[in-house]
Amino acid sequence: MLRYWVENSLARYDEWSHLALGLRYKAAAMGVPFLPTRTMLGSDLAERNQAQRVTCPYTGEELLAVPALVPDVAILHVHRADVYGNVQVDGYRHMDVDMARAARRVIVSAEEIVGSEAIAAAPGATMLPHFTVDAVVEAPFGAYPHECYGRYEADVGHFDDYVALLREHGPDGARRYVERNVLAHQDFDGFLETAGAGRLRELAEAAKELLP
Amino acid sequence: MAVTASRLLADHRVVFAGVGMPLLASGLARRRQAPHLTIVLEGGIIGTRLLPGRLPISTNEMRAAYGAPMLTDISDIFLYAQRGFFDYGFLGAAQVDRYGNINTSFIGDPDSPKVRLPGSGGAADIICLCREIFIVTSHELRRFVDAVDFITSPGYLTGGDSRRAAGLTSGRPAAVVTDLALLDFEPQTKQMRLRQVQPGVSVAAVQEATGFPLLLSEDISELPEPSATELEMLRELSGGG
Repeated sequence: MLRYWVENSLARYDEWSHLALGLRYKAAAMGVPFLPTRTMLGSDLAERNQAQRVTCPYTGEELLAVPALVPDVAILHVHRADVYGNVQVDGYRHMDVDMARAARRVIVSAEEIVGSEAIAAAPGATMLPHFTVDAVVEAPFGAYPHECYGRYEADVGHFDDYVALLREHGPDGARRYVERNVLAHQDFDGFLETAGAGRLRELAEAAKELLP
Repeated sequence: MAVTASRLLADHRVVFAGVGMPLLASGLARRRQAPHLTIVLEGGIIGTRLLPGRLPISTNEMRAAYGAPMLTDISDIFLYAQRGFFDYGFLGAAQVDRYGNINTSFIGDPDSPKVRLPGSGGAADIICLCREIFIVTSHELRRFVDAVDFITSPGYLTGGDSRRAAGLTSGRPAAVVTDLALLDFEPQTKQMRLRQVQPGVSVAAVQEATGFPLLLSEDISELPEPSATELEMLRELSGGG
């Protein structure tokens, strides 16, 4: 889909390296307009993005200055949250903390909404405090067909279906996938029912085998 | 290629690996000559152990995190790299030139590209921030080009001291591993140089698959065949029994 949009000039495409993008969120999360970095120096990515250089006022070193990036909305899926929006995640955290702290509005979907005492029982595991979060939704298996660390593995058949649809129908394949898996259902539970409880249990078992 | 790449990894070092071949090479090195090699994946994973037969298809999934002593976030991983903790980094290439500059962004004019490729991901970060970079790719004329269409990941730029002058003061492209050969970069000019050929491959065949004149090192030898142990370990890792 990305290729289709870019190769046919249907969308503007900005490309930043992982760290550059991560630092753009981090700058916004820190409340500063840019952050200095050594990555992307000398690349055409820096040129094309018109990323500016800064000179360190202490050492005179030249660094790349990546501009803060403020998402209008960040949507995260997490393991547990309380009703106030104190959020806990097990395992890796992607770029979620910086993204949420950078965004104007933050929506959290959680495998389970727990009591505040359950959050306070493991305060070191809290990733975001309540005042960074605007809304919390309880959504068990909410990352399906992707994985949720420790809870369930990804259902890779879905990715294969999506790719097969794109191969066969081009960009219309993506529409078909969305029609079949999103629009055809009343709500998310309706979509989960197409997988079936048995399949979801299998994916949960497969995830357990990978835990320490 | 996986075996040739794995032999470049020494014990007690830290390698930044992607899924696929780099992860296989790193996993093989840990089983063979480098049991204390720390494998880092960009998904926020430090020290993965890999479960044979259940290798990951992406860098942020549970299979990639198996047995890891630390899980963090994506930016954090690259900040460890920027701090200078990572000894090795692996990169693939759609196009690579004589100075190790890599294009994985566009074929053709970036403003109206013929082909939009997957892009940098973490590749530009790896080549800018890791200490020794290994470029691993199949050896084809369309990949080894005189000039890349776009520099996604900066190698030695225009050679000589230009990489340092651009502000890239830490890492360096150290080797190119292909199905035909092992190459490095001549220390002064920073031009790609043929060091060793894969078993049964001639120097002429390597040059024929390269779109620019290769420098030749004085003592070009043949790489040793993959040993039975190496092949057995690779099979075990991939779950082929």
